[in-house]
Amino acid sequence: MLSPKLLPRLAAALALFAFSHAAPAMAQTPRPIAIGQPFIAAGLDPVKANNGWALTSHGIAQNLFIVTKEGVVTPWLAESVDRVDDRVWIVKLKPGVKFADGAPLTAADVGAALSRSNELSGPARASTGRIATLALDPLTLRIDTERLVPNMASVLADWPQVIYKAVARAGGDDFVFTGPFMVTGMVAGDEFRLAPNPHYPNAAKRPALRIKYFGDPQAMALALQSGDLDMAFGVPAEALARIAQQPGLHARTMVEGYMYLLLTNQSRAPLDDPKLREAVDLALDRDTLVKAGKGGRAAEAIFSAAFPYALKHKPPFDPARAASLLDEAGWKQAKDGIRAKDGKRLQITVVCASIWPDLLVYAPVMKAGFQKIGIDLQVRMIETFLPVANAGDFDLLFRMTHTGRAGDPTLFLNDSLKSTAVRNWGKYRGQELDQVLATLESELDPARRGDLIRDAQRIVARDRALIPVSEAPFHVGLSARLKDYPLWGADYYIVRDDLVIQLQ
Amino acid sequence: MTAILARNLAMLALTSVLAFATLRAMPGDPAEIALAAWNTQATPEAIAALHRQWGLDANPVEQYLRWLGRFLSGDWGQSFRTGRPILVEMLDRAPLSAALGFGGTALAFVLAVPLGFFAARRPGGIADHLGRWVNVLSQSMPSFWLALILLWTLGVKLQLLKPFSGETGTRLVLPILLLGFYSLGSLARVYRTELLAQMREPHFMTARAKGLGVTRALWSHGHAAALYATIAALVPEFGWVIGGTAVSEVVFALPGISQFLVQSIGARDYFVLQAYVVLVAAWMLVVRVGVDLALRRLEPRLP
Repeated sequence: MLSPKLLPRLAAALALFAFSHAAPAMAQTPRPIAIGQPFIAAGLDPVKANNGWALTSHGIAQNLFIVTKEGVVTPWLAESVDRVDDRVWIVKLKPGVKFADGAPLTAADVGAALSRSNELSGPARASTGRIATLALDPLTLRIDTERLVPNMASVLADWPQVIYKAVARAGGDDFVFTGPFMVTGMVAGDEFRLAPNPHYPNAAKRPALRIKYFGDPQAMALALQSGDLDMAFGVPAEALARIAQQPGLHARTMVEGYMYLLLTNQSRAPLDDPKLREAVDLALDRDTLVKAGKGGRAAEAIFSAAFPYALKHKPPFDPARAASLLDEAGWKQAKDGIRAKDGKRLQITVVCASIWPDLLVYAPVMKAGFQKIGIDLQVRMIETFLPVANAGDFDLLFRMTHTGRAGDPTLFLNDSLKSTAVRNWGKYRGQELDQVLATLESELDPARRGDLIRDAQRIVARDRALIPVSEAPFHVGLSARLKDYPLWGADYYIVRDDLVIQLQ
Repeated sequence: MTAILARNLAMLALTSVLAFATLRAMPGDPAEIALAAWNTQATPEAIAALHRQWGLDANPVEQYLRWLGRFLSGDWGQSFRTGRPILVEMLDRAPLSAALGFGGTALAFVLAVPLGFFAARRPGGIADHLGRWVNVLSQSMPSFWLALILLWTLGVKLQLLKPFSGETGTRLVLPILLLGFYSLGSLARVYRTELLAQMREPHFMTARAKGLGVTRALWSHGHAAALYATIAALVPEFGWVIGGTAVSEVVFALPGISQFLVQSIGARDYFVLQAYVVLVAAWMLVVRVGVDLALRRLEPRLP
């Protein structure tokens, strides 16, 4: 018989044995993948600010269509979209899709989401005008658009057309999505904690995620180096070599349709003068800017040269011509080298948002170049882009955006350059461009559409509504755990359903 | 005490009026700013609806009184950037900011006393030079740069801690070190200067004449007065606690009140800024009263 004194010892030994055998099982639960980014959704309502785009990028939300790695618009939550007549479309949904709460995705849900976004968000209306939706059966939706829409699949792949379910609750709506990951915790503007959506195929293969906002890109690069992150998306170019040299870390750069553009504020002096805008364009040494930024390509047009519809014409760097244009406009060089007219110095303010780290490098290079032709370029760094853009508080505003998003260049032209567009922050009023865009709405012939899009680009280039600067690079640092994770789609699809990791 | 409280409450009331008036005088209609942030066309009807909802359609005095009433009852309005109540946003972030601010100040205070003491004990000695260097460096080195150096050295090179993914306590180590460093120099100088002043006082000389050593005499007859001066100098340092830790919170990616404030300024989140100004004024009132009570405990003869 066992001695009573031995019992506690035996119990302790058994506990130790159980723990030591449980340990390997526990070790199989991988620690969450940690991703650092210079942006994060401010909340879950897809119609607010850029949330629709950010939530898709985080792997939480999805659209009916997606732009693939090859740049092709292809069904995602939908199976097909077919034109019935000029303003009527029928969407067939994929069967078996579920929201993160387990409820099936129905045509009524899709109709409610698209209608809500259309009602509340300007960008959601930019290509279609007002819409009306009708669920014909659980998987078939009819969409009536106010305007003619030549390519509905592209519109439905665009970031404002996220699919979600708004659930009313006290204190505001709650939102449920269909993406591969679902939200388990959130500090608005700082961090998302995500778990695999159990109702998405192959959920067991996906790890938990932590998406963390970094206000300082250098600190984000150091967080990757200290082992706190598995992916640092958008590290500064100068950190790349450091990351690549550290064992176990990998550095990658992708250039995928994003453009650095300068918006000219045409509603106020001095850039309401076309000669000044042309001088600014000619004074931009794009090759030097790209070299200084250690990545990307000098822009040839407002669209990436990789797209077939892009105008292939690199704007010239001609400071002598820029100087003579300034002379013609009446701006004479003063003793300090800066030009003046009627006692007013030629001062232009360029606003740069710090989330785009290349601008920290571009701004001083531009300032030096502009000084040579007598322009005092004032550089204003800002934390957040939208409020300054919305207020129109700039002469030149740097914007980095995907101008050929969702495979359709008219999406960008419509929401950013049309006279009535919500995002026409430079207040460009181009009647000629408006006419071309109106023609594009009803033109279905691909060749003719290509010609019209090139016409649009010529008008924008002539009026300098936007001055293209460079094709923007994204620099990404990865840990060993994500070294094989393919990066594509720029910042539209950072977290995708193929983000799976091997159990350790 | 009552007079101090009354004076500070009057200051608080005045600050709330100024905060209200300044933000109203700023360019841009809050309704238009919010509608643009929500991607919504700023039609006259939409603007008018928000004005009604936010009480901006009344005259300024009525607006202020309504806002003050709501503020005092805990309704600080909603952040139009995050869509959540401002009070909830602040309360969620306050523990982190408080831990940073109090931690940094406490660290500085604990180190300032011995550093200042030994600096005064032997002017020109190692402690005095160290104190001077800390003071000069903390005044001249940008805090974001020092923060990156700390991250690089302790996080990347030495791998002593996980600055971004460890437990909350671990994540606070570097920012508290940073904040402590920036307060240490000035607090140590205050303590040292006061202690040196005490050495010229008759009571100190008497103690020395009676045979007490310098160290003992300084501790017994100078320390209390120097501590008194150092505690008084804590008032501006405690201002860090709410909103003064922006660099630490941004570089170390900590979601405290300062980071929320920086993001709100960027988004022109009007009502957050208004609430923040009053919150800081109220906090400084609490600090002043707290410090005053501490000083009275040290020196009961205070009027």
